[in-house]
Amino acid sequence: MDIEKLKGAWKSYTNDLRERGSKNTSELREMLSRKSEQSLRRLRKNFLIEAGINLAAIPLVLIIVINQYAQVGDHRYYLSGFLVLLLLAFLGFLYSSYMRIYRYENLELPLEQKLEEQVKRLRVFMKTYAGIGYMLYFVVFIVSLLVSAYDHVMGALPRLGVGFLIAVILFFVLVRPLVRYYLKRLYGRHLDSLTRYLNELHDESSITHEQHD
Amino acid sequence: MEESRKKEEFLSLITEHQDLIRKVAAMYYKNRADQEDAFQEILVNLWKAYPTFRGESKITTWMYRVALNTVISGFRKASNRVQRNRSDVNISDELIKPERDQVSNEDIHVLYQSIERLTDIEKAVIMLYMEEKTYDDIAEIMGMTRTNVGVKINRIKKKLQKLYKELANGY
Repeated sequence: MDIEKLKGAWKSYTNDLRERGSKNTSELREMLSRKSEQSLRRLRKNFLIEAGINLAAIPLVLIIVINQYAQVGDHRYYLSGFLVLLLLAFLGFLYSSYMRIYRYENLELPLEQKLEEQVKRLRVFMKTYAGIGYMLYFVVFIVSLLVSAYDHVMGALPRLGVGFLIAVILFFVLVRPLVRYYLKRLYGRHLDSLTRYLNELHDESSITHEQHD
Repeated sequence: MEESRKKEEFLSLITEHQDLIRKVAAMYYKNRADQEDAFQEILVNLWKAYPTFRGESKITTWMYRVALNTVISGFRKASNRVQRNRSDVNISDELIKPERDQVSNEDIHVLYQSIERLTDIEKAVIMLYMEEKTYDDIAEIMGMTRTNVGVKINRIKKKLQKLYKELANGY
């Protein structure tokens, strides 16, 4: 079976496509306006879903800290402000990362170069996302422990030590696997396929070897 | 004003070369609705990329780049590619025409089924080859070296022949 046969069939098929679906300029113009809006809406939706948890956490943090941490007096306002700032910074990080990754969808780059950029940025994003998540977990846990022993930190040191140990155990048993699973579900599969494509384009070494054979 | 002029210029380019987008969509998506969806997605990405086109490469080379980038590495498409491919309408069926002889139709059907089993990158390379693009053009679109393109095409031909034999023998 010769591939040249397929060339002929492909030509015939694509000629049929032209006959069937050719669009004039005004149809294309209308399609472009409609689809551009859809595309923007989808990007916003994706971002909002991802950021939703963080947005919901902001009032929650304010309510919990202000109502439950009365023993630290006015410090609870600074504390809640600090936690909200951390969440907002995380939100900013999510937004800028999304924009940076999506930017490569619309650039005129050879496939290999585009894949390299996307893989690189997606890896950095996932790593940073996990790092910030872990840091936030420890910050919140330690702050809670310190607040619970606000008036007698020195006396409560053994209790704080045990609390910290529990935080570390919880981190390895629950938080880290959960964050990893979440990231893998959301971005991991896409990263895997991009990496696979990139490796396929990169197999120069095997090609050189093949040529020597 | 400038924006509107650019848009008209872009639309006239697309009107002229829309077959190219349709071919890319047809290579990666089986049913008409998915092909139409891919066509629209590529159209939007071409429009977004248009300001970066400086005329250093041929317009068709630029269009192939953006179109293949959209279908192969598009962030939104990757997750539902498998689901999309599970359609009832098959391109290989559409390739068959009553006016062709029976043997030829059967060959084309099996060969097209073999192409569907190639990886996304291999599909892109073989499609450009079937479109009679030069090795240099393929290399420029895919970001590969010319040598790499040559070797890849040979490999894909061998792979297709093997797949064709397997499918023809009913594996």
